[in-house]
Amino acid sequence: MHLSLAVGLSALLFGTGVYGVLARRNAVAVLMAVELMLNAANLDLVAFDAWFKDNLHGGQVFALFVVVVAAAEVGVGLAIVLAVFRLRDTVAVDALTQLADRDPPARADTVASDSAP
Amino acid sequence: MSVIQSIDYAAIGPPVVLGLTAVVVLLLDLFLPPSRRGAATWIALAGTLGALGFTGWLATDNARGTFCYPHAGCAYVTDDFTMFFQLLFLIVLVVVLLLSRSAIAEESLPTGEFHFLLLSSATGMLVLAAGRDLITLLVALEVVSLPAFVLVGLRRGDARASEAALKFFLFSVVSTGLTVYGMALTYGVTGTLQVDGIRSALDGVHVAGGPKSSLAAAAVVLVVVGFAFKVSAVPFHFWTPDTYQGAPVPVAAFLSTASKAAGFAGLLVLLFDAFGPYADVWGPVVAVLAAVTMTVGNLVALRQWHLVRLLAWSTVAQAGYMLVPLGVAATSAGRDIPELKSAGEALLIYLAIYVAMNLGAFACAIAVMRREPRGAITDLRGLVRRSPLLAIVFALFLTALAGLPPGVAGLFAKVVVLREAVHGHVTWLAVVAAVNAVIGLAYYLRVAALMFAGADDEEPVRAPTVAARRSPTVTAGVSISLAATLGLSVYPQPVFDFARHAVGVTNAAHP
Repeated sequence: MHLSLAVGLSALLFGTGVYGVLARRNAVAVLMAVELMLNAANLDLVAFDAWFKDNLHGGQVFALFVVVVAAAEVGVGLAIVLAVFRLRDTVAVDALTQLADRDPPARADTVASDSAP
Repeated sequence: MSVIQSIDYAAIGPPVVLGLTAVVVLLLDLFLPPSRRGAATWIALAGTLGALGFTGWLATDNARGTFCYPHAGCAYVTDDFTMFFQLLFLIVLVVVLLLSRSAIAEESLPTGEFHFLLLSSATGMLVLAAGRDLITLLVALEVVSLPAFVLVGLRRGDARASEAALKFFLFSVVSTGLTVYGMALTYGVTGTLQVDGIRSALDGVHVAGGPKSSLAAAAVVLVVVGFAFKVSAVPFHFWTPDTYQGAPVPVAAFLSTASKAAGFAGLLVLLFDAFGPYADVWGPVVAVLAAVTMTVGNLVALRQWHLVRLLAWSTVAQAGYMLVPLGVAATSAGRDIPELKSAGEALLIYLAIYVAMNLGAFACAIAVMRREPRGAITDLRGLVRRSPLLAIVFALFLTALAGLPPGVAGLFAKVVVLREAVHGHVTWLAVVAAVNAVIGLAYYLRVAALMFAGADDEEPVRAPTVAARRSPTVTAGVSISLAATLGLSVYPQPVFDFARHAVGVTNAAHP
């Protein structure tokens, strides 16, 4: 198989991932899009490794590490998404606007209600 | 080929000590009764001091390397550059541990988990500073970030903390995705993952030009983007104010100092060592990032009313100043080796001084917010009458961040950076930085002046909303930052020398 096939597919995957990150509002969907980006990098790494016939198999080893990193990211990410969902009943990223640049509160005591339990 | 590798355990000592301490603290939390769990602070502190001693010993020793490639450099190196950053991270960690003790008790954060996550993140930083290999750098970067997400969202049942954590997380994973893809392309162009190997391979690729060279340029930009997120450079800064506001304030202090310094450590290794031949590509990119970051950070900081948000936007602006010395690579005069070397030196000096001042400002914010949990800047009015010492120290840190006396350290930092920009013939960047320093004065001094202002007719001096309780650990944290800032103001020479040695060992000095 020619190298350009794998690299082209990987670029396509990466592009799909970037589009997903930018276009999707659901936090879980964004996470999936990020996985596409990471796996595009993996495909590249393995393809280049085979192409170079790398003695140290740097690309394959790197790909394994990326898989581990991706798994850890998903583990932490889903936990955070769950925490947000339990408190907000939504995982739409554009609905999370409690923290944002705002005008100062008109009266001294109005903001305190934000942090009240 | 031998698969058994000898490991120099002394070289990896500091992160190993810190990592083991993290595990011990987490396990001990299971066995101690709740009333005695506060001991975790002292165990973590002991581990940190142990790692600090270890690093101090390594710093006096010759540079070591371990996890070496057969015919190339090593993946983990303890040269002066590494030592500079490791000492910086460990000192910050000591202060953050002190600052977080009262926050853990008052916000009922899980003690064992908090310390475990904080130490894990710091362990990642120690490795990041020593990593000279794309895999090591990436894994260390993730070890820095992953515990930090959880630390930000550790306040249970607080919707704002979870929101802060999610925003931080999403920005971080997307930028990691870009970095990894950039690293994969780098591997594709150069066929190696080791920083020195990449440099020599890229030298050839750059001269040859063609599509391979364009691919390398794309890889360089993608990797820069990932680290620009870490140092919260505009336009990758959007998470910064929200995350700092939603996180426990000591965690925000940690993110704004140690985590940002870790980003710069990675950026320096990659840009100066690995991507050195492509300075003509990343130089202009970084110069523009620096100008935009300073300007946006300062302008938005002008209209903040929340203390932590103000400090957050100020850290964005400060990241811009720190990128200025790297921006000298935008001109061909700035790309010659001695100039790049002194640019790196300026960045390290600014970073050390910034960390001292900013940690102090956050420490004072913590002390203030123990009484005024709302965190509005107007609540600071008349602070000098309620706690004169705190008001004076806070004002000192803020004026230092603005670059004014009496905390002359901030002034040194600004001068060093501006001098680099002028020497590197990026005069426009020096002008932008100077204008920004003036804009910065406005909001730093507004806060400082408010603390010394008298009562206003419209808004009378409010009684503290929470009874003032002194926390000895917060006081200790403020004191260490104050000592560091004053020390850097009075006798900065040792840090300047250290920075010169630290950059001297990177490849920028020996092309």
